[in-house]
Amino acid sequence: MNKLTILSTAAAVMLAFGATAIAYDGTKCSEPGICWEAKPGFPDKIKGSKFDPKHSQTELNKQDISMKAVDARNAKRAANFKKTGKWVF
Amino acid sequence: MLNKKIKSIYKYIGQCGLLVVSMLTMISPVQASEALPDTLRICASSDEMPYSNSEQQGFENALAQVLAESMSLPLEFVWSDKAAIFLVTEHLMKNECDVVLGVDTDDSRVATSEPYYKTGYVFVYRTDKDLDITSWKSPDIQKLKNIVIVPGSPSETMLKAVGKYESNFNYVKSLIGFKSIRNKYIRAKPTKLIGEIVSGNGDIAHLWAPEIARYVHNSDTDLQMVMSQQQYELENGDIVMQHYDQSIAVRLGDDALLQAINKGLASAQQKIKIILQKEGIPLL
Amino acid sequence: MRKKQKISIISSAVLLSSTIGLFATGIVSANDKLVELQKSDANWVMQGKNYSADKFSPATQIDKKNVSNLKASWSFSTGVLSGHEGAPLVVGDMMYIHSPYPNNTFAFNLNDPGKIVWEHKPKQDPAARAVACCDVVNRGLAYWPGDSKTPALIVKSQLDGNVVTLIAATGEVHWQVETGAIDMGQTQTQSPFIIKDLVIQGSSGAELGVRGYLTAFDIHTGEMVWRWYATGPDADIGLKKDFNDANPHYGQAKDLGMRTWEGDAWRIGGGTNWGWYAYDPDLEMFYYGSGNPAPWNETMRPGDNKWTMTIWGRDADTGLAKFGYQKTPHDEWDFAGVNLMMLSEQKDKNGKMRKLLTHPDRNGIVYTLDRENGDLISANKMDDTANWLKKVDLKTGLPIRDPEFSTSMNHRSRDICPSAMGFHNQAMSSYDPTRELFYLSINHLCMDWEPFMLPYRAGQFFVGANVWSYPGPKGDRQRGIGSGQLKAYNAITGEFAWEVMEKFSLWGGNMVTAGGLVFYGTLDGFLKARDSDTGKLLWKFKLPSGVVGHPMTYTHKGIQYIAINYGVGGWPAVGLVFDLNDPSAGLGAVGAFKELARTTQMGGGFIVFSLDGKGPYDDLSVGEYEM
Repeated sequence: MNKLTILSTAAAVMLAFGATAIAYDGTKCSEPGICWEAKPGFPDKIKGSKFDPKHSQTELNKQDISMKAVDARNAKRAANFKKTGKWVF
Repeated sequence: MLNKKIKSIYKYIGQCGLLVVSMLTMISPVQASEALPDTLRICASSDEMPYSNSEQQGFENALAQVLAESMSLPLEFVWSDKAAIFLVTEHLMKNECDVVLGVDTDDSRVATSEPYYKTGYVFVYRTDKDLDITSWKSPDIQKLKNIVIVPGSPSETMLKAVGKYESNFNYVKSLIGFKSIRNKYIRAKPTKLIGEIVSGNGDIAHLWAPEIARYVHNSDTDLQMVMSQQQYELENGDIVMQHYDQSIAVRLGDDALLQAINKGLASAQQKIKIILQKEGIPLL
Repeated sequence: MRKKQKISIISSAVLLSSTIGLFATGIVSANDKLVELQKSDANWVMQGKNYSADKFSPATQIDKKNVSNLKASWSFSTGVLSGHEGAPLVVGDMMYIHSPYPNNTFAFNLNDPGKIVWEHKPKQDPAARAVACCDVVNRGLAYWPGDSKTPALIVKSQLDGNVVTLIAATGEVHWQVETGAIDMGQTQTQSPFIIKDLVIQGSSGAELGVRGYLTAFDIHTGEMVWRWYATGPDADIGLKKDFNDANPHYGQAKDLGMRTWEGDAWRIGGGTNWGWYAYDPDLEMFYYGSGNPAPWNETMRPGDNKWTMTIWGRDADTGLAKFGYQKTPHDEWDFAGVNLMMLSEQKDKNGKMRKLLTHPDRNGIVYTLDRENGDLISANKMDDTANWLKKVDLKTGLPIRDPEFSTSMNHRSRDICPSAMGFHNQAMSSYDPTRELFYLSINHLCMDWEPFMLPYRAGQFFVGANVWSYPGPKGDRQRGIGSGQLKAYNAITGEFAWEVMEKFSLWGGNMVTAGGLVFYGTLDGFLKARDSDTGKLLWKFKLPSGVVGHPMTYTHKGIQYIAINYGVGGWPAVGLVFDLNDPSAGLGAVGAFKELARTTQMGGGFIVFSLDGKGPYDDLSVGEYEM
């Protein structure tokens, strides 16, 4: 009886180990829609790791700034169009 | 040459499958030789002025000449019609030739000699432009419109750092014919780049000094050439180097050849200096 | 813009109420008109022929028996090189033809197409070419039928990111707006999509780290009505309160667009949406797919990366999403989920009539969803060689991955199927509602993949992976051929009625007719017709250049015409377009299509076929000099 228990825990441990070794299959959800887990040997957060791409904050901000400028130019064109009936690009 | 060759490769890793593949093929085992070859086989571009061409008008052709004499070896140029950034991966690594001039001293793909000169990226502008520019931090930088740079070089990184990349976007693309550098290496001819400054089309250039020194010196228009500061720190802490040591490359493990080259360089030091000075390269 | 959007669910409603006032008169008639126009055989009024995007024509003049008599009737050269994706539009007597960059547009009268009625040749910033990911293609024009206030318009996008409306009768610019900036890598290749009085325009540039977005403009005034993103906080993405209520396991309105990314990665996270959209006028919902997360290197973006790779069902007026189903969470292969959506009304396995949406994805799975609520009906492998996953779990909606074919840093993964180009890409596949079969234009491509690190720099390529594509196991990898398949698929049973192999990937798509024919062009420049019941090849014609667009058909003055753009290019042909040799160049396409350059060269145009070549010039006096 005792032997059997030991055996079965060993099997359970191996199973658990095996499961992590098989790794990523994208189906371990911590909540609906959040299922990703890092591959074995890779960090689940890359900041500060050797995979940290160290993006520049200035570069990250650029799309927002650019889009605001685009929208402002478009809004001006549309307002002028409404007023004059002529589209000036 | 180093910067064309190496710095841009680092850059291109981010953009260009092509070069990375070339770097991979280079890892394939190459035979290292213990013995000294009986000719000095130099990998050289047939059309990459001012470094080299098949008429041997480049300053690296002259340097090779001097080196061979000093090493007492017959000189053989192995010509390549590929761009010089491919000399290491496409020719040296494939044993088609044994020596490449003008690589960065810290290029880990190859074994490098003692540095034989050091120079950097320079600003070039017309003297009559009335500019006061000694570094990327100079206030006059912000007044500039068209800035001549080589895509993928540290100059491009600097353009981003000083906030001029976007306003200069179309202009830089025009220098390479609006082609995408992601799929293919495209070299903007240095004569064209300096021509932009001479014509007044470009306000200022920031380029690797050896690449353009000859054309700056030969220009009928009065041009200023200002050496960049050694390095810049970006806001994320990364350092952008502007000065680089230049070495001669052999395959990893070609120790006998490397030793002989180092000896040859040492005894030819004075002659090398004269060639570089004649070329107009500001030495550091 | 973004700061304001914290309140934009409310404010967009407010915003809209002002435009709804505008709509009140115009909206109904214009939209009904467009729906009416697409029913007629005479017209091909939008890229997908109709809002269901089925490319099914009820025309029967050309059928299985007489298709062998199909002959060229007339043709036109656009004078432009590069890939000619998409198809021309026909509305009544008029035909409208587009070209890739520089994005010229031509109008013809079908009674005498030898004369250009008007042309629009825009001036653009040429630097747009340098940031286009995969050739300078454009997927075609859209048409808005006009109302009492505004005349009928042709709507086009330009590579430089501008969207332009042209007065259909004259070609004059009505309005022109920017939808992005090329120095941010934001280009436009997508065909604009018209719903009611809105021009809906997606985005391109995920290969340059562009955060995907979707903008709607008022057709009358050019004013922006709304914009929603693929990533970021819910307020930016535009989710209805009951978002995914029917399928809570897909994830709901809990800022997953931020929480499934590390730090700021969502701001450069891709999810652009340049594919083909569909619309259901009864449900007043439209459907499209958001694309791949950026960069391609998965190690650089921990998390599920929502809501990239998502099938969206959004409200036509507000753009707010009722459902979103992420097909490939945390993509590792560039399986950009932008492919077309085809709408059908079919009985499911239990015999219940349902409104369905079928989407052949890049990832090798063809998905069928209930388009009212997003329920997953079926998800089958387009080809059994797809190996990155074992299957899709219909209960959870999640792919069951095979870790052997995953990708990660410091490792070259080999023999992954499909390749980044997808088993199905921008092809306009079709659906025959009478046979209840989907005709899928398939790429049979697999790949090796090796990631690398790089920092984000706005306006520069942000890919982070090297790719080598090649024909899949059923093709001939050595010779670089056997990279295409055409298959007839039943979305309810999951079975294929028939399938054939093709020399090259079927990039452009196909069209199916009630005459029992499926038409498609090939990269090496053939227009082919097959029996839609059996797949038997019945007719083919060698075109001047390869095809990356889809065929269309229209009936004019009693004659049914089959027409197609030719002009090789696009992603599969970048090697040929830019003269590249390295196999991994062109995001891995150059190796896969090395044989293509031996079959065809660039050169764009359009050619029209009819039985015995009948056409406008049968009357020899048409187009002649008149005193």
